[in-house]
Amino acid sequence: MNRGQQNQGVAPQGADNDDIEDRDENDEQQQLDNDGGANNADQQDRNQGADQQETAEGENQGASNDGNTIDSDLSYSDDSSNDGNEERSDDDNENEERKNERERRRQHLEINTSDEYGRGKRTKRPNPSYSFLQKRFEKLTFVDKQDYFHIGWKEYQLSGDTKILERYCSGFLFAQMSAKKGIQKYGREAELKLLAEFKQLLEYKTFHGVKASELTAEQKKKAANMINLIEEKINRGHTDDNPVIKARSCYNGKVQRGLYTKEETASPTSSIDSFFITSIKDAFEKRDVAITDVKGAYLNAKMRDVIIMRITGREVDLFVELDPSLAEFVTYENGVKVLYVQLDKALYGCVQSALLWYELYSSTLIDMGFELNPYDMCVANSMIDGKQCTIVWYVDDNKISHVNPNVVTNVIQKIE
Amino acid sequence: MSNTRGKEHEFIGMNLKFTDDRKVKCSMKKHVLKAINSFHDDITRDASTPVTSYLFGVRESSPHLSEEKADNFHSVVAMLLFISRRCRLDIQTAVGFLTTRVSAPDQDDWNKLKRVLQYLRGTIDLVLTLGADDLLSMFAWVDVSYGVHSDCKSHTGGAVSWGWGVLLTMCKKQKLNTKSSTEGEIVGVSDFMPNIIWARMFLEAQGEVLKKKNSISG
Repeated sequence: MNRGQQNQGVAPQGADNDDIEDRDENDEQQQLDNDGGANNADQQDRNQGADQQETAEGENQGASNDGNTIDSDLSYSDDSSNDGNEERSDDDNENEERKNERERRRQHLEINTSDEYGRGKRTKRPNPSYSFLQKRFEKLTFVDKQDYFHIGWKEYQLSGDTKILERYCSGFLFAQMSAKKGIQKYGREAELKLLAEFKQLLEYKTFHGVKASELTAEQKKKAANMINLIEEKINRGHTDDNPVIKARSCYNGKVQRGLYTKEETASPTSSIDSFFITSIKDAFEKRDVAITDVKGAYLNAKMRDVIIMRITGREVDLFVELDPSLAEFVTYENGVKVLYVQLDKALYGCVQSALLWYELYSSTLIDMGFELNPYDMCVANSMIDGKQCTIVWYVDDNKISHVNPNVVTNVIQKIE
Repeated sequence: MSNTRGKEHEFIGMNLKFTDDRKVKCSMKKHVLKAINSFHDDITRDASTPVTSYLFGVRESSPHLSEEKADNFHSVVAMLLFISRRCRLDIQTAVGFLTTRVSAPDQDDWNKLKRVLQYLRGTIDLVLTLGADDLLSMFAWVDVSYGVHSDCKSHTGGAVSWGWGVLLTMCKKQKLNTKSSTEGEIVGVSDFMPNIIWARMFLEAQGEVLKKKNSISG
């Protein structure tokens, strides 16, 4: 399915940023000896070793200016490649400045910046997702590898974007493509799940198409990509070895960070203790208990703000196939099919989705005659037939309890 | 919309079982197994207790864990924290200590964690049973061990009960140094008091006004 275009560049960008940060850190903390991979002790040892070498070499050069240079250079780079690179260029004009620099660096390294708990200097870790993708690629069979590049080539022909080809070649794609990875792991099953998720999105009228020409440049810039994920869930009778697969479409809420304050986005959840207390009460009064979950919870909540989402790649075709009326909104951007849509419902990933859902659900319950508990805003009570009915909910999971099972059935039907 | 009816349920990761004698049993076997399986060392034997007497001791000479092991340590401890806050209150003391060590774990901590997992392996079927003799009478306990941690801080423990099984538990290292056990006790009570007050208020809002005389033991 959506091989190739889905949220391209997210991971590489992240990686780039990391690199830059690391470089900054090195500049600040470690000055010239930027060998991020080694730990502190290692680094010190090594650099001291290098220092000794340098001194020896310096004397050598003082005595006879030629001949030895190449040899000593080699021994150098064996010991500490980075320092070797640094020094080699300065080798010819060995002077006071260099001695000072060497002294300064030695002193700098002698200062123990880490405390006794090993904090302090940060050592660079290999990016796990990165190493993961490389390992994964190595493990592939020859046929799979062939297939992989075949897809890459197709993708390139479709979009005409050489970057895509590059990414395929370097194997980067594995890290980004969560949907793709899922499909690779579970094959047809995952694809069907993804289709079902898309169908649900259309069923709930999550968004409507927007003509790209009607959007301002700023809106286009702010529009975030749709992310499709394949999840492995182990609840409800599934084990680690046999997980249930679930497709999930998300809005990339990263662009929304900073636009909203905490008060606008924070939503309450029930605490585990209130759940236990209500459970004790249920058990004590011998109530009938039911656990339910609301299907497509967030998709029921109406979105208040204007939020534009960008759908790219294979998904565009799929959506148009499922709903032909979207076809008129499809445009091309740098040779890639793009569909701009405005969200009508809260989609997973928007920062305000959780709050919107909470407000919708709590107001629904209040309309049904429930009263919220002021000490836990996710517990609601109501007197039905002279007995108390309690609902505890955790996002879209509900625990409903009442003495009479028929009442519970009624409440469930009402919530639906 | 899917729902489950009857006596056995699953809610936010917990298995619930309502019994005929007015009790509710909670278990998280799946999560416990996951924690044991994701630990790098194999757990091959059972231990009868989660901790030994030297739990709070920290030796300077113990070597620090490698980065990979430290990551594994952190993630397993986080899993155990999740479990211990819900159904397995018996490992709270160990987890409470181990969570203070995740930033720089050493080999001793690794062995302590292993011990906890060995205990869990042996007692994997234990469940938390909750029940009430009388909904209107609440019991609460708070206690403090003075200066047990290596930095001379004290350890607070507390629990609330309605007669069968405890909830709203607290088991953690105090945040500030105290000069005497009396002072430590006061800090502990003040740390735990919000839980008691909240429980009372919550139950009142649920329509059960507690009796005037409730016992709080220190």
